[in-house]
Amino acid sequence: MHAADKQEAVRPLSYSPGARIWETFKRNRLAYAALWMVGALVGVALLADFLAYNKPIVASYQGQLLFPIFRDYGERFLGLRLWPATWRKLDWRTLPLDWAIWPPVRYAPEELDLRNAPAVGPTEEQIIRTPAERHYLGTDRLGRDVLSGLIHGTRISLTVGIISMGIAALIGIVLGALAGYFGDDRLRISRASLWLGSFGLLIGLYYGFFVRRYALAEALGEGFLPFIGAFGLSLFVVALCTVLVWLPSRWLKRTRWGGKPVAVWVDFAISRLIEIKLSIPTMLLIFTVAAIAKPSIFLVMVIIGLTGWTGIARLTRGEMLKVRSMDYIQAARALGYSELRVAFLHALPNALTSALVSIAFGVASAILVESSLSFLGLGVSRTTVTWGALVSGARGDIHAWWLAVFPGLAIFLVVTAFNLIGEGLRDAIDPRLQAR
Amino acid sequence: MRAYLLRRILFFLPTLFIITLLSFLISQCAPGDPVEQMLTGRSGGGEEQLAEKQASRRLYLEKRHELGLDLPIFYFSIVPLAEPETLYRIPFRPVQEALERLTYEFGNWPKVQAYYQAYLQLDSAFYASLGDTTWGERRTEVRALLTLLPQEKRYSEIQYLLRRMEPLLLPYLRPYYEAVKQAVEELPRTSQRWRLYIPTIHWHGTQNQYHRWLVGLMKGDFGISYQDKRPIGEKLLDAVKWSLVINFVSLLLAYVVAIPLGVLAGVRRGSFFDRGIGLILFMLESLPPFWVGTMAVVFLCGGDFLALFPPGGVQSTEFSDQWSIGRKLLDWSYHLILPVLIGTYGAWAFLSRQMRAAILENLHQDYVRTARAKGLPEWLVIWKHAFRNSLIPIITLLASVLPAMISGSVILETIFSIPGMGYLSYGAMTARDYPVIIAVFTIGAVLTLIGLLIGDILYAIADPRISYARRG
Repeated sequence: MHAADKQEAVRPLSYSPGARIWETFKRNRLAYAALWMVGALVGVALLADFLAYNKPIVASYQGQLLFPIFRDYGERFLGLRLWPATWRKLDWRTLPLDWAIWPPVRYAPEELDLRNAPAVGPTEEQIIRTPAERHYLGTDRLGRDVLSGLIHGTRISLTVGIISMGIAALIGIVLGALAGYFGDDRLRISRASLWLGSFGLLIGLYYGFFVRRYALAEALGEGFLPFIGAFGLSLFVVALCTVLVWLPSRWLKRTRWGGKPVAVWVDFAISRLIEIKLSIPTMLLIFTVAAIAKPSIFLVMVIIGLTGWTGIARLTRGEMLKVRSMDYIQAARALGYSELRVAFLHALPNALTSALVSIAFGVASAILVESSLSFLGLGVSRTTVTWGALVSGARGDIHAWWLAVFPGLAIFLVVTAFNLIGEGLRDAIDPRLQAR
Repeated sequence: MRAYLLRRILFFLPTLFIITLLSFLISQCAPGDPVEQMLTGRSGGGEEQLAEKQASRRLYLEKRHELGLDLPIFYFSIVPLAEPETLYRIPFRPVQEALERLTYEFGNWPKVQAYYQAYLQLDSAFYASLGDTTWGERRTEVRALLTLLPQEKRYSEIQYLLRRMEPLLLPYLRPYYEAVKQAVEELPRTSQRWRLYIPTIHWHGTQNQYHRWLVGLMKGDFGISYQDKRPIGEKLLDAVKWSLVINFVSLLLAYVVAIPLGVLAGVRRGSFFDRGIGLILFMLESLPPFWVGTMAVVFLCGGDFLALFPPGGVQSTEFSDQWSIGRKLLDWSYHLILPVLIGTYGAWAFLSRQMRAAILENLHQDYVRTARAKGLPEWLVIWKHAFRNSLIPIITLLASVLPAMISGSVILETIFSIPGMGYLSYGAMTARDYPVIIAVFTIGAVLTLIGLLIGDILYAIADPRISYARRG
């Protein structure tokens, strides 16, 4: 026996599916490396201001010790007024600082360096004071630093990918789980419940969304968190109305008409919904909506989320179909737990892993969609520097190859990383596919 | 099979209906007033006199009637009791929206209407007084305030505008002003918010905007472009030709390349070839087409590097109709080869991976073993037996490939300046020409739907089991 085998044998065998998947996933070196890369990118996104900014991290100026980036944070996030008025317009790069620790790139992403505009390449001669102020990856048409744009663009790309897929996952998992678990036969409720419940839902949608549509639209304009709040309130109103209207069915059930159990075709309805969604060209829809609405990154996330749930729903549905006939589910039902409880607390956790695969691929495609939108100049306001917007700079000036190469490479790497993770997860979760 | 096809067609119709509904809904969300967009470039600018104002209002109302925009929006409407069903009759969309908004705030339409009527009186009194020399400089400001007032949605802003107007007005306009002010002040006092919570349904019949739009759509009438006032159908007819050619060639190329690759990779599973192809195609799938397109233009189409291909367009500048058909084709393919290739590679990866999986599944089937056992050569086993059966699921993948290609053409046509639907739509997006954007979306979606239907029919023809296997 080889030494390595012995080690394997000594280690306690793990039977938890999560741990098994993780072990298999780790053995896929490419996917594991991709996971690390995504981690590193999250780091870049979080620390973007310490990697590229037009103020030093720490500086000593006229004997005063200053933390300019932190001071800016205080102004931006806490709403304090920390800078004296005369300091606001200062260009820190020209100040006679005693000493300073600068971010590696000394430009803010949206800052215009007019001396190096339009579009100066990384290898071309640049008008700079010290070598440290070099535009390492060149500048764009307006003299904005490409590397700084790349670093800060990571934030937008990752946020779009993660938030939009968060929305999509929520919709997809809930719908997929309902369709897969209940099928067309398992949800049998009394006729009174069905009619009153549906009626209540309609009323709820009216009060929750129709009457509140101005409030919702305004919240979307304000930002993501206000929108989530307003949306949550709408959902609450819907739920409240549904329950209120449904309540009398508890008595109506005793009547002959109301007591008759009927099967709700949950799977049929949700599957048709998925089919309809699949036959609409999503990208074209997103382009159209983004072209018509006011540019807003939140709106982009919301549309990508609202259109990207089908893959997740299908996988979750398929997995739930398998899980629902397992013994432990039968046991839970026999114990008298409510169907919804069994579906979401017992069955769903075992069906979730496959949705993860779709989510990983979904993040990749959401990032692609967002960058395509910015490339076309849609979705995000034109002053925001994003990877896609940087690439489109090369379209206007075909000599500026650096505008095409570097941001595109960044998009490619992120998309590949998420695709690799998705691939790795799929192989780890489904041994049958792996063997193929 | 007939039952299956019938089912598909039955499914096709509601989906089509939903798509038109979606397009219409989006078109309703387009900002601005369509009639005004249509009439832009007509008013000479500068200060309108009373007669001109009346004339342009009449023109506006005529155009509005002509476009059917004075009709209700849909077959029926569900609105709160507070909102009148006749709100759609109010001209000027920003005004309509502002009044609707006020109604939603106070729940009292008669009072909102009273405010609007009072405003109209003030407005016409103002225009009647334009000749008055005592106005001086103030006239311009009052005019601006009067234009803003009915479009203002927030109550506090309305009060603010009125306060600003007050000291500027001529004495004999005072009574009109007081009427407006009184109506505005009455709004919060007579608020009836409970009326917002009682839904009412109104039936409008077929005399509505959606119906008109849908009927027009079926006749190929997509409305009129804001940009050049040409009918959109006419504009699209030239464009759709190029998009169809490019998408058709791309689709063909995608299948022609992907199928052999997938079969070979599947047959030599685990070989160097299989893994190499797998890796390359995986990378291709992650390459954003807009990036590859831009890179191709920068590096291959005459920037600072190579000039192998033309940077855009579909034909050379010296193209003439006298050329022989062969020369024309050559010229077109020289221009279209890059966009077609870039529009295709994404599908290669996807299709060949599915093809590989399908052939692998079939190679393990009993009938393949039988074929081998009876001594058929391996190539015959693969191409005649396994291949044919694995082809069927690939046909249905049209459903996934086609929508992506149609949307992808927006990007590719933009990069390579191909005068197709996508390019047209991009131009419309930058010019805020909403009717064109919506027409392109509608046509793209309907084309996708038709493509899917064709795929389904092919599938049904290719696989006789369908008629038995599926519930009708």
